[in-house]
Amino acid sequence: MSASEMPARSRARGDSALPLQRPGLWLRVSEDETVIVDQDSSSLHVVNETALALWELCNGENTVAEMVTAICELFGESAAVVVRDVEGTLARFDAAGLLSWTPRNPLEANARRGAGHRTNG
Amino acid sequence: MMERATDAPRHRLFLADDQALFRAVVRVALDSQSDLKVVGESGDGQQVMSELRRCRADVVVVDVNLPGRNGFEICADIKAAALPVKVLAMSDTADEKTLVKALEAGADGYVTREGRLADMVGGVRAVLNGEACVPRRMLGSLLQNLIKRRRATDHIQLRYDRLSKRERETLALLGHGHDHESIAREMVISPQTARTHIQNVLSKLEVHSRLEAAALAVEYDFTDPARKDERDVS
Repeated sequence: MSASEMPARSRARGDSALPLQRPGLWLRVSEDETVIVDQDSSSLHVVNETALALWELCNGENTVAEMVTAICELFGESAAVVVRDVEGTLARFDAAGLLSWTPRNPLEANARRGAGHRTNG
Repeated sequence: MMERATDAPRHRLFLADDQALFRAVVRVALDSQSDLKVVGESGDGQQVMSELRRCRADVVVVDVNLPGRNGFEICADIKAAALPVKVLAMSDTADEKTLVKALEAGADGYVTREGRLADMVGGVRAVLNGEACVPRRMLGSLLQNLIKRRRATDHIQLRYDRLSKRERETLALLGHGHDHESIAREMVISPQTARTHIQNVLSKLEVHSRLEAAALAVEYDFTDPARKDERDVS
């Protein structure tokens, strides 16, 4: 995924931070819907199945780019479409105060970036 | 019963499950949809491929534990034969390993027997539309699995990139089961040089044995270095 395809939030943070669920939240799952319950603000946030999957990936370990790539791989969607959806969903989580962002280990970030580099010799 | 000429075309479905009662229930559920029609069924995995060819199904719902030939094998058979059939794999309960195994075998979607019949109908329609069909509560863990796998692949690729051209050839030959003497013959080098290449391969790949290196070569498609290098360049 190119830099221009990266979600605005991730661009702004320069992939130096990873989305992480804020403490004090829990999921209420029923047959028909899933709700994120925020005990601090006594608010409820209904999420659809894709948003729920993204929510589960917000564990402080996954980059936004990795989320996008995995969704593209699974659903065969174009990166442009998936980036827009992921960005929108994370922005809604963020606006609702559901996310904190954890700093990314710079050594690990370099190692993962290097994995995309190919040499022959 | 013959279809009336005025009927809209219905997608043709095949059920592969060893429980006759379950097949009967699912058949009723699917046949009740105006756009779907069950055109065949079998409880024996060994008959599925020939039946699929005979009845020209668009989608097969197949139990991963089907006797005779299991659902994973049937998925692989369908993809290998390039049959134009979408595969909806089915297991008794939601299990992530089964889901990943089914997708790796070529399944287009995955449902569970414990799910609602409406989910199966939705799953059939999803794979017909070229969409991935995964139980919603498994989607997050599946995506996490894909991310971890991608990281592992990238990590292996980093180590592979350290190998010289000759070391890649050595790895490919290890992947094909050669020992140091036959590697020496293939590469027209001395056995001692072959040993040195092998040691370098083990060291750079951070594996502890030739067997481990060979398994890695097969798993990550490093058995044809020329093809691998072409892919890297592209």
